[in-house]
Amino acid sequence: MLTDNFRPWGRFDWLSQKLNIREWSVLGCLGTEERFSQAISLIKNEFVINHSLYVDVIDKGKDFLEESRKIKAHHKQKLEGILGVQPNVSLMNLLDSPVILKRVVNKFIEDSNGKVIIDISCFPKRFFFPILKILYNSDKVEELIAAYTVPDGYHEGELAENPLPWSHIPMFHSSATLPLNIEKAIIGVGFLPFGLPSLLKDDYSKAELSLLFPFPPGPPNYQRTWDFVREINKFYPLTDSHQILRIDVKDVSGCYNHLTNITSNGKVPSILAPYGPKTQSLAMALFAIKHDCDVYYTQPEQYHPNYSYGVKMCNGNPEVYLYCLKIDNTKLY
Amino acid sequence: MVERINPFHDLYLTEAIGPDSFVKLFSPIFMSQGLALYQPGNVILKGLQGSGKTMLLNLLKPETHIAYYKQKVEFPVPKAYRKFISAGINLRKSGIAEFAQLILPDAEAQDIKENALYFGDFVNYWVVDDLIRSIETVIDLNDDDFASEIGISIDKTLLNKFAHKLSDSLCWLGGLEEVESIESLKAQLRDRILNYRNYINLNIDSLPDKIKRTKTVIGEPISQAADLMREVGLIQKETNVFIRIDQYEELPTLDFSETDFGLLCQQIIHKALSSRSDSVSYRIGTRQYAWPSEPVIFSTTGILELKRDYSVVNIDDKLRRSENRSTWLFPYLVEDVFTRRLQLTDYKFYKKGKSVLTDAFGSSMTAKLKAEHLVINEKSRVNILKFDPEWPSEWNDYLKKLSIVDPMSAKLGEAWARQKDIKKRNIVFNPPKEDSLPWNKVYWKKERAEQALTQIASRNKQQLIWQGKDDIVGLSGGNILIFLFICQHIWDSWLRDTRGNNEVNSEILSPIRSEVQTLGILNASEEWQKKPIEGKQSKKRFSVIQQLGERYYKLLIDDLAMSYPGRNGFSIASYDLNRNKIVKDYLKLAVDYGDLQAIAHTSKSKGEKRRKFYLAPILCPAFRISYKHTKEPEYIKSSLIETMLNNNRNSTQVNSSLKNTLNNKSELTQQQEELNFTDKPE
Repeated sequence: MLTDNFRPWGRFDWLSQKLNIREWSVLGCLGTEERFSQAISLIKNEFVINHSLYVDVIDKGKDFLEESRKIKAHHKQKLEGILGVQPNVSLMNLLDSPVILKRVVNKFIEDSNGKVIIDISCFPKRFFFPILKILYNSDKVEELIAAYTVPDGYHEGELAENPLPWSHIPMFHSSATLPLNIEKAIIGVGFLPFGLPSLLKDDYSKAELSLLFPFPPGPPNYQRTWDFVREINKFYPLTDSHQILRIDVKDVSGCYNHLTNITSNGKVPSILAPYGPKTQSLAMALFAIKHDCDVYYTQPEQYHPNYSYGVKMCNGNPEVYLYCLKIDNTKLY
Repeated sequence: MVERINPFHDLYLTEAIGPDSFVKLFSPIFMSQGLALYQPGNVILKGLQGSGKTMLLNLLKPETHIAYYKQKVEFPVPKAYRKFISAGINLRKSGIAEFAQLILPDAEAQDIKENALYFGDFVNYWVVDDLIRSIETVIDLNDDDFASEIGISIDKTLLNKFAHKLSDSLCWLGGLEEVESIESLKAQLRDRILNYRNYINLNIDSLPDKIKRTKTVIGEPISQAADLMREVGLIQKETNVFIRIDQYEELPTLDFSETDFGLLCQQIIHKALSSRSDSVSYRIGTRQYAWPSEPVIFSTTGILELKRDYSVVNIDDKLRRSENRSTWLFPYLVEDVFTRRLQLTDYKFYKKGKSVLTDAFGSSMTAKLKAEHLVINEKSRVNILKFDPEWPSEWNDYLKKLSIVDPMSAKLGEAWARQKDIKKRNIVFNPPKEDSLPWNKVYWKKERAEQALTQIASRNKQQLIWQGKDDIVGLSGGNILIFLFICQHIWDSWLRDTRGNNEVNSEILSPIRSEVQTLGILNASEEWQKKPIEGKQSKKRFSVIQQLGERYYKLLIDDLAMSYPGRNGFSIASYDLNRNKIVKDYLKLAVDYGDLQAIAHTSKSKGEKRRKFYLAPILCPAFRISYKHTKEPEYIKSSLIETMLNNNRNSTQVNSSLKNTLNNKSELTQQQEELNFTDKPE
């Protein structure tokens, strides 16, 4: 689809060769998932790392705390091995105030060279949405790239537990002062529709529902994503097959264009609920930043330490994708 | 040919639709129980999710009242109470809860309090703005008759007069500039709200100094606005002003940083209710668990007093079945709701009797009839029996013969012979004549019929039968959402069952086949089980429900003598519960979320106080246990529940366990085959 901006994206090994800038600052998440270190490892091999910061997010729930602590201690050593220096790690609680996060990110920006890669692979949405907004809107960040590593698979059981009630993702609250007549509720389809029916029921029952269905989901995700749709359909019936939009999960730009189309370039008052894959959520975050939309989520209190496992390989190479978001201080979305 | 749709597909239709369709769908049956909502005085409207709180609050909105007026349909509120106007705030949607996100873990108590005061200030500005909007909605209608009915003037010039007086009021503590027009007043109100929004979104590092210096006292500008509306003649002296506060249950969840911010915000709302002014009355919509037993008033040690400061309308209590069925409102409500839903569709239905529900679903079968339907052929009827090795063959043959004629009676006869009483046990040596079966005593039989059905179904690896009006109403447990949920699933099953059958395309097959109903209800029950994964301590609540359901299924089928037919619930002594806070808190939470139902009861031991707990009825079919309560429940110690709480199985384990209980998918497939699901209807 032709748009105003060409938005470069693609596999790391391909896109990294095209980038003129060879020195980057990296912001990532020190998580329990194996994929956490794949992007930084490639970045270290390909570029010079000017500055890096890893955020260690501590769950509120205590069930997996000890197991997570052990995995993260090991991952920290691994990170040190990749970087060759003691990694710069900032410890934060999952439900900490976004004020603290803003301070941490602003400090990171200050210490950076203005060329930033954010690895969104392991960040909870509660973190990567505000981080993205701060980086994207900062004049000091001239170049911004998002990196994403595809895992080999996901834990078969519950991925997250004890969801909190509906709330806006921090910093993603529309600034409209009058109650808007929301016409569209756009849902990123994932595995767990925690509380989604109750949001639609309580507050946005008149809005038309659009589901962004990750395509191709591939087994075994196929079943889980359709279960998600079924769950929504039970409480909030889908009346038209056009309400399910099949979106290429890797194509952030395409997903963004879909959002633009179904909302008449953001003119149709909409709310977003990102439950789908990170890349889809990335597009939703960028759309919400541009069009000042409410973004809702039911934040789980804890994530399973084996949320995902491994790194997906393709032709012997790890599947890591890069998405250019800002080039030479020009916003591409 | 009618469009084959499911009239219950949209469970929340009454909230999704505009005011015009609301008129057609809203059932006034509950109104007699909720009249306090339309009279002066603060009201706490409590109810589980889907109990109808929003519907009742929506009746207060001028848009809804106008829709009734335009359609010339009698407004469900009695004439004597129609003089009112309302305004409100939805605490989640307005974004006000986001103040909690700004509190740092090391925040001083004073900072937290300061944020709570901003919360109150935001509520004031928002509600006053909404009140003006409500008045304007009525004025825009430009209908003297309607305005007169609710006691409002449609003279637009009064708005500016009101705006001038309100902007000049001391209640704003200097926060508003003096204005001459309503538009200027609204602009100022919205500018303040915009500042808060920017602050919440971290677009600005701090609030403007003017806001910091002019935080208003919760409720004062709202009361002042109402008083001035009366003073300038916008509303009549006797016109009530109701302030709706939705999603109060959001507040206790706001303590992200382990602070008391959520608690303080609750106290701010309580302060608004404590003013005891006649100017306005508050309507607080909340789930059961959120309203505290002692509602503390902000910055005081005072507590709101029930009856004096507020009254409570508890929808769940009013709709749950009491001992006296004749006063039970719920069956009348669902009858009306069901009829209204069908009337909105193209389906034709025959109102043969008094009950459309009975027309559609039939009457529930007796336990005896259900047993006969469960085991149809001779072989399966004999198979329901389990013989004791010491029983003489004559007795075994007697039971076998009886089972072919009357399986329920044979199963009860088997249980009778297993009783502790030697006289009863000796029956195996002297089988009774058919007309004098001792287990046919009315109460003995009645108390064990459901357990017998569970055992019969279990022996044949089948699901229980769930069908008919009484089952559907009983399984709904007094919750309108669950009723609609069940209807939705039955209708889905019926649509699948009759697909391609042109004869039934033009009308409801009346009543729907019981096999189809059973399948729909089972689906509904299994789907509903997944719901507890939402909300506080969801993981533990989900786990305990699974353990209880599996426990009671096992207890009921292992008890071959049917000595404990009431074991589909448990009872705990009050003294035991009071000393085990973990279990007490859990049980309160589980009841508040609707996972369990709690009932006080008389103990077997004289003078002992106990409480009994049962799974929500809708959960029972999936566990193959009865929702009906009979005899004494299982007497347990609180430590058993504590063990279950610690046995924190995740849903994967539970699902596999549940599948084992249900003898895996092949049985379900078998069951579908047995239900003859693909057959054409008769």
